[in-house]
Formats: sequence, structure tokens, C-alpha cells
Amino acid sequence: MIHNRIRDDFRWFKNNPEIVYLDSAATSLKPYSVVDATIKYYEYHCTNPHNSDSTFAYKAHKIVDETRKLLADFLNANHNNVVFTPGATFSLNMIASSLSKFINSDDEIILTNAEHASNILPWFEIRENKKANIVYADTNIFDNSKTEKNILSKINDKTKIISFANGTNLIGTEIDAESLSKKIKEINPNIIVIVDATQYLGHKMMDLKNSNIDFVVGSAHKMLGPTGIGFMYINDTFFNKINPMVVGGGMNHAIRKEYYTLLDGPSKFEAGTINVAGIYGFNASLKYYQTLDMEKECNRIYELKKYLDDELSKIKNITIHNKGINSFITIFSYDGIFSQDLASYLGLQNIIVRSGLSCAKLADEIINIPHVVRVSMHFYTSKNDIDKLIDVMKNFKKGDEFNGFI
Amino acid sequence: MDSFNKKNGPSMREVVSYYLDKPMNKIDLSFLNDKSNTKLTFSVKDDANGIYEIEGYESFNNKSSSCIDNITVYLKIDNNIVIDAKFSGFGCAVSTVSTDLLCRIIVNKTKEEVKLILDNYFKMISSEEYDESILDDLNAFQSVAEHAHRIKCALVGVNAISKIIEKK
Repeated sequence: MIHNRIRDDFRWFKNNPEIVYLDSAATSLKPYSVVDATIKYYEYHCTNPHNSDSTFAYKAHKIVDETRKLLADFLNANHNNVVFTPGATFSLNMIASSLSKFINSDDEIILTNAEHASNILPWFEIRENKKANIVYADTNIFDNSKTEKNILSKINDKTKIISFANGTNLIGTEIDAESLSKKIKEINPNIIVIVDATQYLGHKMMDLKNSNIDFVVGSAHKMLGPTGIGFMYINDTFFNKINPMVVGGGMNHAIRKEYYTLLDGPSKFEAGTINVAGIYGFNASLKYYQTLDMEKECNRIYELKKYLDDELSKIKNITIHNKGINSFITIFSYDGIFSQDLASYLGLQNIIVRSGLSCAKLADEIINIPHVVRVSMHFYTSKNDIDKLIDVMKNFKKGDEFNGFI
Repeated sequence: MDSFNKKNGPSMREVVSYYLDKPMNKIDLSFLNDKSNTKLTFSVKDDANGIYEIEGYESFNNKSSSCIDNITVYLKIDNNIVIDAKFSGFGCAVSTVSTDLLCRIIVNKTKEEVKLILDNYFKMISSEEYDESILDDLNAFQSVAEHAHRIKCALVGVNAISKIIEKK
């Protein structure tokens, strides 16, 4: 069984044999090659990639370049359009602040109501500062084409930006961003399209060379990589139109007393010493993906989610809120039990899940319930993990949520 | 329901389950519509977060940082004595029931007496020695101290009460 091989690549499972990890949408586990790569940086290289004065010091520089190319391959993009950042949240904040100069009063920014806080709040800043408006398109849990239609129907002459996740972190829906972007630009080619691919890239690659998306953001730690490193893709149109939001070393070419000039390429958006160890780990995680049959693994998890939904649905009092969709996420609630009490109970049974709205704080209107328990999977999730959850929920009785502390 | 009694009364869990289903001091829109509660004059301030305004009451809204608990406490204080205590909002069993029980226990107590109760409650939650005799049913939350991730739940409403009491 090929899947057992995947599991063997994660020391975490050996270190935590009793724990069932079902919170991969919050952060994925890391294969040992990722962990080893970060250690390799500190123990063997540990030079600053800005130093290219010796072959030895240049090693780190080469790994950064190689990682940029690996990531570009994953996105099917040109590596010169890929900028390293501390993560998707940072990227979205940078993009929003750099686009601010293009926004006028009464301009409209379209978001969906399933967005993560990191793709909502940066736009609040622009709304406030520029007297612009945010328009929310409704997310349809069971029909992604309806979500797309809802987004397209919000477009008018005032629309400046459309920013959406192609994989939502709570509802678990997926949108074909490349295709949606084409439809948006057919209506108005000047609308700026931004895709939060943080969840999507955990299990799918993108095809940016055949798209007209302007910006894409992601985080390595959802992609089997380390925390603290992520990226933003900026297309050719905007690469020279926007200015770096952070300035300092490594991004300037010359500094005179009155002015400075920028470096070309991604470096101009990468002021300061970036998270080098993180990039070494990201390098290993991207190489790890190359060893997987991603489509096959993705379909396996889709089936596993449907199996989970079917089994949980048989339990009285449980409602699945995104039942049967192609997703790595299942959200459910249990009548009369506060989600945190249930998640805490599952924790006591060594099953790690998440309660609440997982930062998608406008999404309560989609599911018509203020909070849920989220189960999220990744390629290393096994049927055995899911069976343990089903078993615990089958035996759960109201009152059990107090086990251990009341 | 009788108070928790270690020897022959209801179990701690029964106490908590009972007040989770039937909170004594919780106000919400149904409370507003209930004619038997007309002695309170209150209005909706923020329906989404279940925040109200009650005439003659001081209030404090408290949220937990890492979950969605959102509780507002309302105290009527007259001549240094807590005359009435209510709460509104939503949260897990630990946060809502601890707030509910405390709202009951502090009524007809002076601010100083309430501070003593709160002080002992905080000690209990921190695994320090405390006086069980004055915490009544709140002793149900003794073991929360052993569950680091739930301690914040046991403090959401209680801290709100403390904020009002500590106010000059």
C-alpha cells in the first residue's frame, strides 16, 4: 500500500502513536526530509544568501534560487514572478497596501463570505483609508459554479479588485481560479484578480502560465513545509507597477543621500534576510510533492471525506454542514453541544480537531450556525484515523464532554 | 436544584449539566419577551453578539481570544452591595455555567465579599489552595485547573464580573 509509505515519511506519527491528527487545514505535518533540510541549513551551511563572495557561502543562495524554481514549477509560473514572504497573511497585507494607490473612493472590492480573516481585514484598511466599498459574494457549499456566478454577478463599473480563496479553510469548497479569472477579465480586463491559494496548494498545483490571475498567495506550512515562510506570485503587469512595501537590505541596488534604486526581480520585494531555514524546508516539501501521485492521493482523501460524512450522518444529533463535497474538510455539529466542548472532548480522546469558525468569521451565514467542529485531512490521513473519529462519535453521549474535568 | 454536596447531593457533572440547560441568570430575547420578567427594563445593543443594555445595571463584555466565547455580565450595585447579576451571550459549558453560578452566588454580597469569592475562584483555577466553603457549586470547576486549554473558558464571564467589581 503506497499510503503507508507516506505515513512512514512523517516522524510525527512515530513520536505520537496515540494521537489522531485531523487539523491539517490549520497546519500540515512535515515529512522528515523537510525537518532535516532546515537542520541542514543551520548545521552545515548557515550563511546569508545575500553573500555570494565564496563558493561556500553561495550554497545558501543556490538553495533559495532552486526553491523559487521548484515553487514556480508547482504554480506553473515563471520563477521571476515568485516572491518569498513570511506567509500568506503577510502576502495579502503587502498586496492590499501596495494596491491601495490604485483605489479611489467608491471603488468596489469583491470578496466572498467564506474568506479567511487574512483575506478580509487587509481590505478593511483600504475601505477605511480610501472610502472604498467591500462587496461580499455568497458562497454556495454544494455548487461551486453558483459561487462563481455570485462573484461575477457582483461586478460593475466600480469593481477594482476581486480577491477570493480557491480553497476555503472552513467550508472546504474549491473554485477553479484560473477559469474564474478568465471570466472576470472577459467582463473587465482591468479588474485585479487575487487568489488566496493557501488551502488549495496543500493538495493541488496551479497553472498560472495559462491564466491571467494577477496575484496568488500561499504558506509553506500548509504544504508539508515549515512555518514562517510563504510567497506571493505577482504577474508581469504588476511586477513593475507596485513598490516594495518593506524596504531595507537586499532589495536596493544603489543608495545615494537623496534617493535609492531597486534591484530587479523578486529580490526587490524581499527586504532583509528572509527565513532561509524555512526556504530549505520549503525546498524539501516541494521535492516531496514530486514523489507523490497528487491526483490519486487527492481523490483518495475526497473519498475518505465522503466515507466520514456518510458514517457521521448515521449518528443521531450530528449534522454535517458540507456533506459529500469534494474536499479535505468536514464540518459538523452535535445538537445541544457547544463546538468547543465537543472538540475538547475529542482532544481528551486523542483526536485533534478544531472548533469555532477557524478564522472564517463571516462564514456563519453560509452554514446558518455560529460555530462547528472542523475535521481537516491531508495526504497522510489514513482510514484508520477516520475510523477512530467515527468510533468515538458513535459512543459519545451528552455529558461526556465534561469527562476528565467536571 | 440543590447545591452540590460532596456526600449525597447531585454530582458536579449533574450540577453543570443542569445549569447548562437551564441557566438561572441568562438574559436573551426570549427573556425580553417573557412578561414575568418585566421588572427589568432592557434593550438590544448588539443582537449578533447578544449584548443588551439594562437600566440601572453596569455591564462588561468579555471575549476569549482563541475561541468564540462572548459573554456580557450585568451587575446592579446599590450602596456597595450587588443587588442583582445577569449575563448574556454565548460560550462553552465551562464559560457559561461558571458565569451563571457566580451570578447567583454574588447576589446580596458586598463588593468586598464578592472580591473574596473571586479571589478564591482564581486560586482554584490556578491550582492554589483556596476556601472551598465559599465557592458553593463553583467547586464543580476544580479540575479545570488541570486542563490548561480550558482555563480561559473558566475565566471569560468571571473576569467580566471582576472588571465591574474592581471599578471605582
